[in-house]
Amino acid sequence: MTDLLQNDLNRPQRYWYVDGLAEMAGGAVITLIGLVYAVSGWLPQGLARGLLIGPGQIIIILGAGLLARWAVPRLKERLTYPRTGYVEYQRPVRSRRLARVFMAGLLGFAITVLTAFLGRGLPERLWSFFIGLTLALAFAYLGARIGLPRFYALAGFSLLLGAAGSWLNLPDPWSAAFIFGLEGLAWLVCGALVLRHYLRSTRPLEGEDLDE
Amino acid sequence: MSDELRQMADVDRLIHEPARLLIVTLLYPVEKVDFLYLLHETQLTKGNLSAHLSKLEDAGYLSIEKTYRGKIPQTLIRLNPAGRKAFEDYREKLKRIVNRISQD
Repeated sequence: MTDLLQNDLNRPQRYWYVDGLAEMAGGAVITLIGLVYAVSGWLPQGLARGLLIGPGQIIIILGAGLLARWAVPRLKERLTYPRTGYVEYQRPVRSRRLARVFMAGLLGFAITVLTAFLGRGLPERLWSFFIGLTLALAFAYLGARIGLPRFYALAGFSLLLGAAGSWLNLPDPWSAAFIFGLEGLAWLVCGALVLRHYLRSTRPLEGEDLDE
Repeated sequence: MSDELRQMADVDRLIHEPARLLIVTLLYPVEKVDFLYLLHETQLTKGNLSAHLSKLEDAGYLSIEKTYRGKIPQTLIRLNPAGRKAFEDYREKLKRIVNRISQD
């Protein structure tokens, strides 16, 4: 019985992903990370490249994340809430929100540093697999926590993508551009398919339909 | 009457009703929701959902606010502190009952 309650307690959280918009936003951010790596690959070795890979990446990720946080609720206002209803989630206080955004950026940078540090002990060829594995574990955790099976599929895709990247053995930073770029595109496509299904299977209700 | 049965008889009957239990469970982790969301998630009829919400409101477990989203009327539902406490107590009692039965 308590397991059933936990499943129902998770339903509002799953509802955030019902329309695929969050995945599309996340996919756009991840694709942007891939783009940053790709652009850095075109830049010559030097300060510009270092700034882009280091602080530039944090700024871009934070900015894109903030933009996504601004855009997704507004899209839900137009598409989701008129169809299947409105949920206001419990929000942390402003200072905690800012701290969370900062921590997210710091975490992204820490993962980049950790990947580079640990990667020194690994043959360069395995870096892509390591990144794919990390992403797969993160998405599998998210899938288990929220209870969305399609996140497991994305985790499996991430693992395969990492393996493919290692097999291709692209030079740095093209391997990261390949991994993050395709990962982001997968999230965009997944989110778009979910959105398409959602829009086809629901319709906006007019006021008289809700005559209570 | 055995201890387990006595404990089950002590649970909050208002929340224990399956439809109302689902309503309260959906409300517990969030700030508030609208009527359309509950209608969609519970798959109850409008009349049935309204009746259950009224019972919970009368008990002081939730509050209902009628407002507008643009030109469309919107009914917002929020679980009150009393409702949260009642749900937490219910959940705790249920865990104890299940644990007790599992041990036996």
